[in-house]
Amino acid sequence: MTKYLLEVNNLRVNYYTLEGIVKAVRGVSFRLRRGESLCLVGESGSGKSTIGLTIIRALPQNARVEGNIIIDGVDILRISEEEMSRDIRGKKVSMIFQDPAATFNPLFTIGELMCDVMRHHLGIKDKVELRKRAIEMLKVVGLPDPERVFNSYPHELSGGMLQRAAIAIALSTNPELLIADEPTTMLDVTLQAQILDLLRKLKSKFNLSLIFITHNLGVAAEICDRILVMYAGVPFEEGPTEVILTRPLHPYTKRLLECVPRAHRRISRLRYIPGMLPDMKNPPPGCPFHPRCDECMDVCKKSLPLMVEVEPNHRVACHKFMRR
Amino acid sequence: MNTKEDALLEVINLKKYFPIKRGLLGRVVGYVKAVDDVSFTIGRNEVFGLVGESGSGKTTIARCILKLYEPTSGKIVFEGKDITKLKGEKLRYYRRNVQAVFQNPFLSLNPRMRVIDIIAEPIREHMRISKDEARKLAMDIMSRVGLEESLAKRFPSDLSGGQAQRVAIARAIALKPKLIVLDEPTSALDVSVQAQILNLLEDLSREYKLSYLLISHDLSVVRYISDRVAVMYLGKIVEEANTEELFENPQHPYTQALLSAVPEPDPRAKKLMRRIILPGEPPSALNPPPGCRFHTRCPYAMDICRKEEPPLIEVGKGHKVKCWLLMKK
Repeated sequence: MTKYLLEVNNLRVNYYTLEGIVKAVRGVSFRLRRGESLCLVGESGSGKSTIGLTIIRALPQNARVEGNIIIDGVDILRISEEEMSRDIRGKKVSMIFQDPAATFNPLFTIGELMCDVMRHHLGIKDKVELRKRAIEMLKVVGLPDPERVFNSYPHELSGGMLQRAAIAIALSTNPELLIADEPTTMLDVTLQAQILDLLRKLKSKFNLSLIFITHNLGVAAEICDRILVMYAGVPFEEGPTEVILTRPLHPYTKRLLECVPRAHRRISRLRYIPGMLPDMKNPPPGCPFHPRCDECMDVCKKSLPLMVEVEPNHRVACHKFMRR
Repeated sequence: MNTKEDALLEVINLKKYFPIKRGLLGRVVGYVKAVDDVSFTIGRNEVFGLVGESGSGKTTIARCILKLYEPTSGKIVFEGKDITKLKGEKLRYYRRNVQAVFQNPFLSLNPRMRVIDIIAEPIREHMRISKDEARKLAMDIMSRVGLEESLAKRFPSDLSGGQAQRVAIARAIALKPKLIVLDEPTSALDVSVQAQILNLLEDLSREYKLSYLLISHDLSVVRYISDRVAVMYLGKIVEEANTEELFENPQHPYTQALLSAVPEPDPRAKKLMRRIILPGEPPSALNPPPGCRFHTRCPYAMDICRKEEPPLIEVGKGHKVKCWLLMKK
């Protein structure tokens, strides 16, 4: 057993479209231990969802991937689709998404879908055993009346219940890594609190590793050990959650934290980041944040800064920290 | 602030029930009570925030005010006149003075019109001036909301989300209205852009003495720009107070739970917070529970809560709470 469950090395993902090449991910590296959780935080176009889809190899056909993704010693970018489906997807890694209704086939009941997934990934054939396991899992995710949910079609459940069911399916195959792509974004705050609470409990119960993708810094603070901040496909800052949220170093992280209105604090005037997010087909040269950065230097317009370790466990990609 | 002379818009005992029809004959088998006996007042140059989760009825209220829905009963009074009966020139006056900005600008802007014409059209229509004059005025408004001149000839599909929302705001302020209904105006925007739009809205309200009805599920946005806030649950207002009072001293158990559920990015602030996780989900508005509608999820529910609807109790200056717990014994 290697020390890290997941290693992502210099990952690059390009989408080839009719209008040009979209450089969605431009050189991202990170590692994840067993039982550890990492948040990918960023705004639209930061590449956070693309990273999630790359790890389960579910990218659209027009995507080209470079780099390595090593899960438990296996580079999943170098194995066949058959091996991926047999050994990795489900068994090692599962994923849940923002819109639970879109992840279910409306023609099958929750139970049929769960049994199907377990039959395929775990090789269980006994129908009684499958049903027993499915209902057990629905109970674990806190669904009231799991028997009824088992026989329900997706449209019969509310958004919060469906997301619980999606989590049950994702975990029914005992994966070691769960990728959650904005799983609470479509839910009301009181339901969001329930789902975050559930994920926290499941994470410690199953010693799950978690990659949590979100644009919401508050949500990130709730659930993750570490945070990786991304912007326009480029990693900007990575470190323990508390460090990133209380003493960030990258100008983007700092400004981003300042421009979030707070429910728990009075703010008389929000600071904001001028300008808009870059067009990913034609990102600015150098550091992609330089046109909006108030600490921009000449070098920022020319070259992309590299991640450097500023203090133990705290890495920053900004030219301010690259000198010396 | 809340005297009658200062009231710009009064909503009085507003109800909006949607009939549910079944079968070939369209027999009415029940009602969804989307808004059930709601009253509030928006003062001049006041930002009134209406928060609630999905299905609480906040958007239905907005639609009644915009005259997109006919209320089932109750009154909406604008500058002393009931708007449900307005016709002709008086209706035009109301329409000119009450504008709206919606969540998704790409759905609320005509995709086949250029930015400049989107903003100029209401000016031309209401002020009865020539196209060129209207365009000139529209250019001024564009620069006021931070849109570059070069965008005037573009179509909405060429714009980013933030730019498109600025166009929607420009169109809303073009006629110098008195009230703008903002229905989730920043929910579709990225955080770095959201802050720009919130600050713009704040500046405009000061500059043009505008009132806003801000409808949002995001409590942090509501706290930032509202003067007063009402919290809705299943078609009813459960608490109303000045913004600071509501956020610092929430009295209704639902408001307390709702606030505690908002994730806080600052780990230091979070340590001081008490987390209340509400069980279950809001019941259906088709068949709301008797008594207090929140009793099925309330951690403090008593016998009376299951039987009788609590009255709205004034607990402080302008602070009203609909809860039996606050009834003095």
